[in-house]
Amino acid sequence: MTLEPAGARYVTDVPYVASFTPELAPAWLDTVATICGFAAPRHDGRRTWCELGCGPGLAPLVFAATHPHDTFHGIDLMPEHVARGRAMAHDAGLGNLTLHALDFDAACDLDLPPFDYIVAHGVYAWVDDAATASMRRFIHRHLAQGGLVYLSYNAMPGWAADSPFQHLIHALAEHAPGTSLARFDMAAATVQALRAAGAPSLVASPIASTLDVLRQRRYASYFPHEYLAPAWRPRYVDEVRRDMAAIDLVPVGSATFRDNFDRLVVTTAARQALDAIADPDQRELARDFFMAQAFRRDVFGRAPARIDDDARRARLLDAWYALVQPPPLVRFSMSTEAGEVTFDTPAARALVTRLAEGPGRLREGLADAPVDELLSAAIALLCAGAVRPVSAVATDVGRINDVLHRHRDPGAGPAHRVLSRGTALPIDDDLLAAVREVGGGADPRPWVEFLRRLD
Amino acid sequence: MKLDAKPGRITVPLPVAGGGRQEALMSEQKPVKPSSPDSLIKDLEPKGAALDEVTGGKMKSSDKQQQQMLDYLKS
Repeated sequence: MTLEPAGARYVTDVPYVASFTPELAPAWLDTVATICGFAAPRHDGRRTWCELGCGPGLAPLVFAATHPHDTFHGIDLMPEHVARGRAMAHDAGLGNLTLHALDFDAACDLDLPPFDYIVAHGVYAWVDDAATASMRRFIHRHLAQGGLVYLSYNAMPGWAADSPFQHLIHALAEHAPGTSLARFDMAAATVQALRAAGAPSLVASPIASTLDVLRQRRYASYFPHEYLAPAWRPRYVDEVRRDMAAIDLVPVGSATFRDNFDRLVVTTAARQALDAIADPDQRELARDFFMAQAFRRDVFGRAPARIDDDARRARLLDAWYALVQPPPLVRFSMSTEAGEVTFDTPAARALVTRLAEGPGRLREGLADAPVDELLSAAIALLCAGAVRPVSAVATDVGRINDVLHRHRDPGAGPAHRVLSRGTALPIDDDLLAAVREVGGGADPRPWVEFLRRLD
Repeated sequence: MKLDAKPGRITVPLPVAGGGRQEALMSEQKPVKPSSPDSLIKDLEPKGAALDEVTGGKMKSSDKQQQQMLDYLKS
């Protein structure tokens, strides 16, 4: 049997959305490791990072511009993606970023440095078994000792009710004429008509039931990549852990911060039921059933060193954090799968006030706050998305922001504002649309003021 | 262990990247077992309706994030 060329096995006629995924940042992954009791990757002042399936390269562009002493690589099958990323890297003068237009199999044979971080966002559930095997071979060959792997993917059982919808969309579009965008449009119209006629399996699908809203919220190029990939298959966590164990990787934690805390995402009754399962992989699988887990952001490590509680607290206190929401809009509460979590404490308010002045470490300006309360507040704000871990070193981001602005295709993704410590915010058409939709209830001025302060 | 599904390709264990750093890394290894991450947030406990109940059904993570964005826009 001969495999078809990789380009025939995926959606390649429509460039993917140019969006930034903050969880791919070295500082973010280091924080996951620390929270979960592992040492972050060791490096000698020069970190190495690689993304498999980097799309137009927004994440490696942002990181290369904000980590000038580190080395970044991105690998993507689509030449259009890589050409766009290379043009932006050239204009931004980024000598520490290399983008490769290759499939994963060919990438295995590249002469590359050992990587402290290898990341792949979403792609693992979109490609076929040969490609996932190549991803594992790449990781096995190129991940450094103590290195971290970020692997996110559509997950089961959260997709259980929507899998029939995806299968039908794919089947209807498979032999239709036109581009992937046109074929998706046609198939979606048919599916919506079937749902309107009462097809029970579509009525029961949350995605089929909200497709109109989803299509307003997301860029058009997302849909063919998500729903028309021939090998699309959500994974159960135990499958992925077995795959990673075969290349000697161990689970570290989740880049969805709150998923690292049982208390936040499963109820007391659920925790008691889960306590009957001793095997950690089986327990994690069963926990996903309580959470209706539909998308996992797993972090694995190659022989990561453990750290004790004192080292964990010290590292969390020494790390840098940035506020990524206007202070007046921080809610001090969040809804989770287990209920409403409120953290409106003096420590949380003091931390937001402190970080409103700019990125900082937990101890700075907050020496009087009890350490336990400070850590808890910081973690709650991380889990709620109001605060992000960021790089310890600030860089000038004027040039990269100019480049992203000049190269932006408004139909291909949101505008982004790169921040000086290694992350970026979407200045998003959806955000603006949401402001308009909410009408009199929302005031965009806090965002305008907040973004202006970032300059 | 077969790491590559490509027919006809013989795969063998590959050298591990960064092997030179292993010795230094292992020397730092201690028989420590940190507490559960939950020990960092003893004061936090969910109350009331779960997210699925609030939103009337299952939500994907990306939708949860969008919901959070809408939530703080409304606040």
